[in-house]
Amino acid sequence: MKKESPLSKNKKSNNSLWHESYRRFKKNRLGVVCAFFILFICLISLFPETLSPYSFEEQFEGKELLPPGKGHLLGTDNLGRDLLSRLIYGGRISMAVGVFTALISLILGVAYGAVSGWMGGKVDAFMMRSIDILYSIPSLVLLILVKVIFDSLSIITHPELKALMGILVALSLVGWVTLARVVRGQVLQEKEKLYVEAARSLGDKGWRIVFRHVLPNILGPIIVLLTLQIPSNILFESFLSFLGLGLQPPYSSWGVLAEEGWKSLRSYPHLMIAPGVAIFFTMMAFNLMGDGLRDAFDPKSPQSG
Amino acid sequence: MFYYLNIVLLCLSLSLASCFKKKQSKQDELPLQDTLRFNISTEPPTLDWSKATDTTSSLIVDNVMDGLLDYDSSKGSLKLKPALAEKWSSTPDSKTWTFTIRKDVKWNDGKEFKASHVLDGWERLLNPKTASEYAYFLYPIKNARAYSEGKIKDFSKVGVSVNEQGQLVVELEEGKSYFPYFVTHTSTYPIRKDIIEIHGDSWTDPKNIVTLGAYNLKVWEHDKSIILERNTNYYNQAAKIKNILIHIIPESGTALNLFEKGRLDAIRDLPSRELPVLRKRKEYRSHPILATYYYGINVEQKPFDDVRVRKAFNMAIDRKKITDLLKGDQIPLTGWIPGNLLGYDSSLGLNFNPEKARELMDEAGYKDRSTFPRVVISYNTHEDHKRVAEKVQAQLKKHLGIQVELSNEEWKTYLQSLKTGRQQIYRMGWVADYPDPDNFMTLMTSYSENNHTNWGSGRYDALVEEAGVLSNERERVKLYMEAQKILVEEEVPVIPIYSSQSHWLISDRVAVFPLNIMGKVSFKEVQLR
Repeated sequence: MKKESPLSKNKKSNNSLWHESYRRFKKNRLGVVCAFFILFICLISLFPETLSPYSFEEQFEGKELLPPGKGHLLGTDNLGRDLLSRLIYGGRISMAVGVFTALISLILGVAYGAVSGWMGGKVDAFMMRSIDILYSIPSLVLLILVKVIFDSLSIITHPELKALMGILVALSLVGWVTLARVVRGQVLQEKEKLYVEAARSLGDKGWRIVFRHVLPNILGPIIVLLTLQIPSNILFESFLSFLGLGLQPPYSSWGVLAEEGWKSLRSYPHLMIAPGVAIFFTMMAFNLMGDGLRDAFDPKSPQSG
Repeated sequence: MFYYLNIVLLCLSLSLASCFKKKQSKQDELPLQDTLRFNISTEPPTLDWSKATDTTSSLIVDNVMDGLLDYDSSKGSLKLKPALAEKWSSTPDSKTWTFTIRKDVKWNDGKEFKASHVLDGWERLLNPKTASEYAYFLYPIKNARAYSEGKIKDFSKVGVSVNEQGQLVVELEEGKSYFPYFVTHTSTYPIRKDIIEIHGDSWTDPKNIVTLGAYNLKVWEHDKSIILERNTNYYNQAAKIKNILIHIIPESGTALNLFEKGRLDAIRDLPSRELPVLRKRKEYRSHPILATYYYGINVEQKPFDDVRVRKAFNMAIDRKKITDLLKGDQIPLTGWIPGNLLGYDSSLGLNFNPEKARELMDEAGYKDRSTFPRVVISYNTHEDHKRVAEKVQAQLKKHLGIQVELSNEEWKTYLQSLKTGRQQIYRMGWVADYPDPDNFMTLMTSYSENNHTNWGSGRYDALVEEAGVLSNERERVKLYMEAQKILVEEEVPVIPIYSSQSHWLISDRVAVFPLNIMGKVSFKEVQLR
């Protein structure tokens, strides 16, 4: 294999960092497959009505707890609702919770961490201690508080959005803290490096350096954290629903479906297996894609897989 | 490759962890041949019998305490038999009752039981400071209501006293032939005020509590298990089984699994979705219980201050569909008094009528349903309550075009929040405390603390009180019909759903297990093979 000269890499403009990464990612077959899988799930989540055979809340009376078969591909639940439709609509909510909370945490966490790390000194100390305070509050207590406050607000009238809003805000509030810490640590590390100095000597001002040079360099850990956070958010949401703090019927997510199915595992295992499989594959896809992306962004790290 | 392995290992360890979660403890040291293993689905909210209002609490209290009288389960009927009182009698007008107290009874701290302990119990139940939700239970007694409402400060003015022969004499406001039933109920049990004074709220802890029933409370590991041990100094025939181990298992599916593994001897509240299979088993027993499953409506909360909305909700619920779903032999109920009880009438109440319901909604000013306020139905966490609630939710959406929200809480918290009165529609069940319609009818009186609807009607109260003192059954039923009409046809603060049925699995180890139409469980009469 031809080896790239280190010189040619340095010459290229910032734009090609993405190009290079894309090229490297393409080589990772598993990562690409997972990316397509996630894309597929996202598409279904955006347009559930195209694939879903019925409405997620339609109760077919007298057809409760049917095993998988004709008419109802994955069977029906204990109120006679089509499981496949519920799985599709549930995936929409699970993905929304996972992706949106991760995005909100990303914006909050990166901004906070970058400011804190870049400014350093007293500002850094103050910002980090405030995070410590937030950290010391048990996340469950915080979640319950935020959830209760948001549920009592009556400004949001769309029922599905309303069911979701409390969880979204609560999870994002908890999620960004870890990200902020990681970003701050990375920025502290990077700002001592030569390329920062080089940029400075070329006349770049503070924030430009952070966004143009430092952030692209720490994209690796951020993306890895993000891809780990999405599935953990999906899990956390089902945990909340389990406590009766999450989604309330008739809305469901994969977590809710799995929780309900688990109760009837004895006689109706199909109710547990379907959401379980969906969660399993989605989590794995996110994790593998995350690995692929990390390798692509950070070629110096040891190759895995 | 390692990634797959990690994930698989994670899944494995998670599932293993859940298997080993149950720690070994005291409960495993009990000898199996002398132990009955039972389960309750929730931690008892309290064991203080002046304050307990729910069936879980009274299940435990009933077995560690006795009342003046008891039900004679050997006769299968609801006849009364002596307990702490050996004899009872009344004047011909049923107005004054005399209970002769047994002399040989001792509390389990060795102290002798006296009639004054009953008096103490009743004083405490009525005392406004106790704030017992069952205070109204004793309102038939002369001046009891005035004392409970703080209008009289002197308890000696209340119509209950101990005479020179040491008998308990009860004077009622009006004659009530079924009064002896009242003194079988947990809330009327005697108490030891000296013990409560020493320990305060923690007097119900196993190390503090003083009781006199067939069993002693030995261990109470909160949210885990309760162990009862035979009281060897019990004044009556001693219990057949030495130890009763009561697990606290919220998931009925888990309880079922433990039963199958032979780790529970009797379970009830079988999950409805498993019923069709479980029915075929030889361990299966089923019997109706005197209980109403209903939704209460808080009439002070908008939009339910409008009776048309309450009626519309009532008419939009198809009870037959609900009982068909549960497949548990429940009887759809539109009236208030449950099946098998005097005063039950299937023709009472508002029938399922979606067109009329929609008309009522339009009349109430909600022609545009999107202007209808947010409505929450609350229920205590249980898969079957959830199942019913989801069915009701779907019916309301289908027939009225209204999307209601559901919210659930664990039993103890649920009962607490009911007291705050913020709920809109709440699920509740009422199991008879004594086999008389009076028990169901007084529940909804304006002064009953167990009535969480904030609804009250002088006309209803008067009818119920009048019926309560009649001895002629036909006339009583007539009045109860009239009162029920107010409750379920005119004012509608409640939506009755069904009249309940109890389902059991009882293992072959158990030779005798008396089942009771009021859902009571008397461990002292249970026998193992």
